[in-house]
Amino acid sequence: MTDRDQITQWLNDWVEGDPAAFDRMAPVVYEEMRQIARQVFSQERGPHTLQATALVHEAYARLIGLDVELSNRDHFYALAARTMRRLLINHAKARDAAKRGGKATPITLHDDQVADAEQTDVLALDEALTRLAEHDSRKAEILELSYFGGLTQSAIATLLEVSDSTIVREKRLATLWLRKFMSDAENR
Amino acid sequence: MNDTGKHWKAINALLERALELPAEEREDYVRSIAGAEPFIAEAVLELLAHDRGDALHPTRVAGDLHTVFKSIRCDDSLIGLKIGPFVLTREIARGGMGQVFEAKRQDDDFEQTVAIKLLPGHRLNEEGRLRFAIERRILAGLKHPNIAQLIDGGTLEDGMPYIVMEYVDGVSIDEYCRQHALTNNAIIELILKVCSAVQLAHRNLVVHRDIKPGNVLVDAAGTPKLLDFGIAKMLEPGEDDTGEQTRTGMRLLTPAYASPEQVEGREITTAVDVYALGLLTYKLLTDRLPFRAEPTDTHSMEKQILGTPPEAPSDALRSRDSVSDFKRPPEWRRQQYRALRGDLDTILLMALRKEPERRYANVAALADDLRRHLSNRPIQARSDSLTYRLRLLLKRHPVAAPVSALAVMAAVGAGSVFTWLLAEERDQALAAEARAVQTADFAASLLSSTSAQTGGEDLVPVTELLDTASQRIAEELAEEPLIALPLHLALGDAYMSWGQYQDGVEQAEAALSLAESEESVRGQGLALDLMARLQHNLGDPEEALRLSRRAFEFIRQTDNSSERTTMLLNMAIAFNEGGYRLDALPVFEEAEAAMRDEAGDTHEDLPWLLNNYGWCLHALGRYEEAMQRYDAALALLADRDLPFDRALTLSNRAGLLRDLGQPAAAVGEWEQALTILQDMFGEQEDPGVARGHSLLALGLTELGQLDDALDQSNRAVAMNRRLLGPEHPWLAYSLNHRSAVQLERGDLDAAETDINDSAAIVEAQRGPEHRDNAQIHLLRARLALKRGDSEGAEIALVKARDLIRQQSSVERTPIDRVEWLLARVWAVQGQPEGIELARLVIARLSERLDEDDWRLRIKRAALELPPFDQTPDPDVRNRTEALINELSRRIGEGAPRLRQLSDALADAPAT
Repeated sequence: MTDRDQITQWLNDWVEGDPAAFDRMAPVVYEEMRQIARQVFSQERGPHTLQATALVHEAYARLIGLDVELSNRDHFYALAARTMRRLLINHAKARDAAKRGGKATPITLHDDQVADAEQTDVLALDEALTRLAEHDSRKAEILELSYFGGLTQSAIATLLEVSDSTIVREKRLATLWLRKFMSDAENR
Repeated sequence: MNDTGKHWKAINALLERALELPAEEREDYVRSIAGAEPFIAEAVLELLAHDRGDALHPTRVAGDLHTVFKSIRCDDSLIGLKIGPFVLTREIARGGMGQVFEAKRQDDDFEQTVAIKLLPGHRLNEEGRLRFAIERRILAGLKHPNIAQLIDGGTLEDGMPYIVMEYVDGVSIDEYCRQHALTNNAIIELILKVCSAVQLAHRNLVVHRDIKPGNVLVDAAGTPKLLDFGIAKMLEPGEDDTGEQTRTGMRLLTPAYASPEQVEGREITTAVDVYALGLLTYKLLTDRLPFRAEPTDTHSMEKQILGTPPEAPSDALRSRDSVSDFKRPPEWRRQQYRALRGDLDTILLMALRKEPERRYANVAALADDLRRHLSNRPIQARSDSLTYRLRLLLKRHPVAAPVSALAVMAAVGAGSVFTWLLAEERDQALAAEARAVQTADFAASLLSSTSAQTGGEDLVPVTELLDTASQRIAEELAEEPLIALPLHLALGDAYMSWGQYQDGVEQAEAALSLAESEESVRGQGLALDLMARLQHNLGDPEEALRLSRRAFEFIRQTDNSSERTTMLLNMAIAFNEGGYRLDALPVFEEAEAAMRDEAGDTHEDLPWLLNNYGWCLHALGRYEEAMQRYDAALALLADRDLPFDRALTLSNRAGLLRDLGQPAAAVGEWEQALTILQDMFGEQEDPGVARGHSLLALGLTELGQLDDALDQSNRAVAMNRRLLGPEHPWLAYSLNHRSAVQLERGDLDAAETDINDSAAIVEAQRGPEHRDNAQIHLLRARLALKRGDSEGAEIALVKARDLIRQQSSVERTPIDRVEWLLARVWAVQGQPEGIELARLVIARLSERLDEDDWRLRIKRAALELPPFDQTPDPDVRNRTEALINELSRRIGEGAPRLRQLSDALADAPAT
């Protein structure tokens, strides 16, 4: 585990405008979240629903501690959101690959069956988001922060330095576009 | 796409404005504004169509990222990892605690496929690794065709533990059963194999702790293999363990399969596996578990496991909300219902009992019952093992003062009486069980709130207990007549044994009116029976008999024949104990016939019936028939685990032996009985044990072993005093016995004290006219004689005789003793009635006893000596001496009757 201070430092750097700091942090965060997810979800019947939010909280707490400034935390969450998305996409793709090749031995029927359906959605979501970003990066970012980072609307507003009502409006529009892109993909 | 890009701003602007309008106006608005630009209009309309106004999430997407995360196969990168001589080739499954990989051996020499389980959440430190290694060695020693063999194990560099196991190519047992549509019997056969695996483990002191369908794989050949043995224990965190319990508070176990003691974190024993096996069988036979909650709702699940009685498997099938994992047609449910109802219900419910000690004692017992079911033999599990303990308590009548005994009585007694009352059909067994639990809780709370002490020398204010109980029942159970009813009955019994008959009557009346309003036939029968016994004790035998007969009529009406049989037995016993021996006899006969009809020799109440039947005949003086019954009872008890019944029967038989003039044999059996009772009760004192001591004292007295007799008697008295307090009739009996011993020993003051104490009790509890007073008078007479006060003796003896004559004379009484002494007294006073009376007594005795009976011989010899014959013939002396010598050898030198004879001999003038 990398030094907590180090990460805090990177986070500060990034908040103050050093984009390279992001690149340094991202792999660490990524790894940490994988660890968490691995532990949490290697249990077959976890008695809980771990939302994205919780996972991010967890990563944050572990990497940085709970007593860092609020603004930094929001930035971290943005980072984490992005990382989360990457995490999910990677695994969805890997899983697809595995399915195409090799023997698929059923483990627990339900979870697998259900998970399959979700997998498609994650990839479709990702694709749709990417399409959206091509047109309007802010809308895409808002959705990313919301779904994958679990940020509240006011947190997003703070992060993106706009008003709450802007976020509400933008998010609503973005959602419609997302649905459209996703249904486009389905009907292809 | 390009078009969209070009018109992006426009589309969004229009969209935004349109969204501000109510839904029905939107289309018109859009067309009116963007009429000239069809592309834009269509785009906006299309987007508007996606606005369902609901939650701002795309509904199909990871609103529940959880599910997505769950599918993450973290560490796909582990494939290719080398562990020892193995290489991970493929991920097979996600086990309970980690992932399972297929792995192949890397040698050129030979091929081997194994399964390797990684346990990432449990990185071990030094100590942990050591423990892990030890456990692995133990588990590797479990070799059984139905256990997935543990081959090896260890820890990776970072402390992550791993296990190398036999590779099992199969599916989980529930999947297997479904795939192959196994019949119930086939399922049970599978379970039996699993059981044998678990038995082996238990013999090696390994508890599995996590038996569930996912841990039992069945291969293509149909062989079940149990996985993950004892892993939960292996990985239990020690003090310094870095094993990470996440902050979300996960457990190592699957909550739904956890036993109550696991949930509470109490001691884990093999009973945990019994429970889990029951649960597994339940699942396989009904497609569901008895406790259901949302997978995320651990708290609710735990609450149910701890507190909710499980639904019987057959009932589970009828449940409307039954959501089974797999689709089953309704006919299947109906068939299964019929198949499971009965023995399988009983077996599984027994395995699923909340208290570990109430389940099958071990897996072998469970397996045996399953096998019996398969071969249609009767199973051992009692649908309510409380029933036996209830009878135990009712047999013992007086409630022992220690809180625990009362708790047992109230909780057990009430609960199972209740089961009797309600179990009209087995459908109601569930309700009964639930209520029994509730009743027990009530009783427990009752007791913990009183001031009763546990053990010690202090008197337990039992009467306070009883009064509190009575009050609380009235208050708290006003809405629950079916719980209150058996409690009233139990309380009534308790009051009665404590001699508080009026209070008992109140309880009986309460019970009766409840039973009437609930239209419970059996309830009325029991209430009337209680009332009858109370009336008897209140000194109104006619009323008692009338009530008994009424009770009997109710009992006869019962449909359920096996319950009726038990009730018949109770009626017979009630008559018997009330002294109505002749009324009891035909009922005993009927009950015996019914029992034999039902189950031949194997009826569980048959020994107890024979014991009481024998006692009844014994009391009537029909000794041979009585002995037959006792012997039959003991023969049946020889291979049953009913120590209390055995002790009591032995004790009765001993009494019979004594009455037949075999005091030595009697003492032997009393000693046996006492040992059994002491084994049963251990440290705990009990009036039954006290009685055992007392009777033994009696027997020893007759043999002249007076010091031992006194010792036993002292124990009896002390125990009764401690347990029952200074006013209980049973204390009086033991005082009587002790005073008899004291008399023989010549400690007349001590005897007098005991007699006075006893007299006080009898007079207070029974009244001066009760036949128990006869014994007192007799003792006083003997005391007087020892003091040379023949007038005093005469008065007492006449009183005794009058009392005895007033009672019905069907059964044996101490009349012979009384009259013999009276004869002696008169003879001493020089009255000729003396010797006449003596001859009368001898004539009476010789009708009953053998000519050879030593007691008869002594009496005959006594007739020829003072005081009956003041001038005996010389050869009388010789014959008498010879007799004394002979009997000394047979009975014992100090035997009081012999001593009397010797004394008489000594009184004879020398010639």
